[in-house]
Amino acid sequence: MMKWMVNCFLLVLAISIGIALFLMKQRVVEYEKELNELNNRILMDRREIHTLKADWAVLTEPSRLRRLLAESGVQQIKVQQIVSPVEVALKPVPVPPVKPFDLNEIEEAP
Amino acid sequence: MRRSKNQTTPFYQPCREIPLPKREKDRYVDATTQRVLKVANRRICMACAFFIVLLCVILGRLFCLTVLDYKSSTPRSLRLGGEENLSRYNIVDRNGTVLATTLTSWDISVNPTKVKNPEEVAHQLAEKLEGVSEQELLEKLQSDSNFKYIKRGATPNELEAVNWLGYHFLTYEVVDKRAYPQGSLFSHILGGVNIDNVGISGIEKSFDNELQSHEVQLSLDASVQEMVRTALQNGIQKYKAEGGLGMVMDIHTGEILASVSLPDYDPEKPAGKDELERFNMPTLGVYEFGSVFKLFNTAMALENKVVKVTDIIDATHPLKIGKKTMEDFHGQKRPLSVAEVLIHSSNVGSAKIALEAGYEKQREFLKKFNLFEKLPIPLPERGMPLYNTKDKWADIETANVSFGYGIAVTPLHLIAGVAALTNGGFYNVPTFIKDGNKDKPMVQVLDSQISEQLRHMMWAVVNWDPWTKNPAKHYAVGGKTGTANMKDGHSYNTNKVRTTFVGIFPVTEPKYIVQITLLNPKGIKETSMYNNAGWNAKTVGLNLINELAPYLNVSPVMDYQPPEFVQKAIETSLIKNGRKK
Repeated sequence: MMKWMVNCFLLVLAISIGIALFLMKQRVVEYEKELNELNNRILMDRREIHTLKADWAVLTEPSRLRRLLAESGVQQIKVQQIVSPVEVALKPVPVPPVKPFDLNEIEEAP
Repeated sequence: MRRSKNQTTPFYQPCREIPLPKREKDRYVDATTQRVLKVANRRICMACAFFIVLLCVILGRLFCLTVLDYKSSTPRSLRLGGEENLSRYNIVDRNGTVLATTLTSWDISVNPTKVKNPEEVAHQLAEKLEGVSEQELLEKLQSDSNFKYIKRGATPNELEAVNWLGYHFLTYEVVDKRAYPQGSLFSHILGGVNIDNVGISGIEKSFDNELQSHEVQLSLDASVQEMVRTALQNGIQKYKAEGGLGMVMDIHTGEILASVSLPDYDPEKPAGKDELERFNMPTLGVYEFGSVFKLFNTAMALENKVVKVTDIIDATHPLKIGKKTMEDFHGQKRPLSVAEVLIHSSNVGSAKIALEAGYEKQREFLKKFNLFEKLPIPLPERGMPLYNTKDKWADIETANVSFGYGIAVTPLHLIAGVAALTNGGFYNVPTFIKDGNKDKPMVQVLDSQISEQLRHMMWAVVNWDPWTKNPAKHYAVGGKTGTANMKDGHSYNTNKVRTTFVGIFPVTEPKYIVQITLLNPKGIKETSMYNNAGWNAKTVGLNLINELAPYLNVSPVMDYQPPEFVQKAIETSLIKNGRKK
């Protein structure tokens, strides 16, 4: 009787483990699929970034920037515009006027 | 049929029945069985041990694969793709700007035998594809061949447009195409690749293996390169020169920030360009640079204590060596101090100094600056200097070398040499790779005090005459010009010159060195029809420095005072030339 029960228990255990493993395997397959899709998307994004970097290099080509600057009227910095921090005079910061203190404006506490 | 125990047959011999032992003491095994059992036991133990070891190995391997090294054991399909999938990696400048990259493109081909109405197809394809003429397409479509390329390296937009036409006889093949977003700006340095994306020249060739696995970062700066190219192009146009070259180098690290050779070419369409366009002058061309070499001559004489900066050299009369007579272009016709010899670029003074030192010291000194050998730079296009390789130099050769004739080096040799003369005396092999000289020891080739004296004298060369315009005067630029006659066959053509300016800034604490060379510039009205370096290459160089300095974070130097010997030389020069303001 005891032997029969043990056998039954082991059989149930084996079937349960089998089902659990099957389900886990299914989930792993799904996760793998999802991971592959994500990797493919990342790969495509990276390729896009790679192409965009080339586009950016074309757009920021120094001769193009020079032409754009000339069109927008930006000129080259002059030596006279370059000064050391010591030479920069500190401008006085305007202080807002302080309202004189008036005792009549104070409300009495209820 | 069962036999009884007592039944005997010729073959069946009943043996004695051995009773099974009830207790341990009753167990009896005869000697033969004992031996057999012993062998069997040993074999079973060995088999068990083998399987245990095998199991341990498998478990150990599993542990390594799953726990210790799980990343590399991940199947390739599960690994992240991305930039490692590039067939050829990018080349970028020192700030990460892409100079060369690999983009996906398509080769569109056709089977002409299947095309029924070639005229209409050619017309429609010509509208969709850039750079392919209708006539050219028609010829391909009417050919008897089974395969013709319509366009190689088509862009995604072109592919989409052609695909929408819906022609079944067109085939598309995905290919990697090398693209150069900066156009012709870096054409000579980057070089190019063949149709199989294998480097055939420039950095593309030198770093062919490296580019298969990782990005290569150069020391060049796209903005500096563009500034140099624009300044040089303007100079070539203004002075009607045949071509020119420009370079900027970090004076302390030897890193090249810009290297321009004009005329240049589009690296994506290198076919059909002439030799001058494809020739990388800064690294491959070897030239006589003329008076710029007086810097080496002066430094050599000071280093060997042949003269002092205040010594007087008589340059009153032309110098006669054998049948040759040497004259000064800017003839002062008076005794000059060593500083004045450099300031007024006196051939006579330089030759006398060199002859005083002797050819052995001269040659030994030039050797320290690698002026007699190819530079170990990472480019296949490297020029070998030309000079007299005989053991002994004649006086005329020594005199010639003192002012830059009889020795031809590449512009890269020159800029690296002058950098070493002026940076405190440390020689760096020029490099095109960012931090390329980081771990290399610097070699001291000149005393730092002499280097400092030379810088001050170079400042005087540029600034002694207050009537000469100097757009970069606030950056304390020091420099030297050189005008050399160009060769026509075996003789010099006195009408054709190569003008060079080498400038450092600021002389107080030099950071960068600039070189400008113009090939055969002409005299114009603005230069009073003169075509020497002081009128053209120097002007181009100073304008360039004025533009470069703010970009390179070089602050203006407002309070520079040259040392006494330089002040005295300038004072004398101003009085003698009637140039005092």
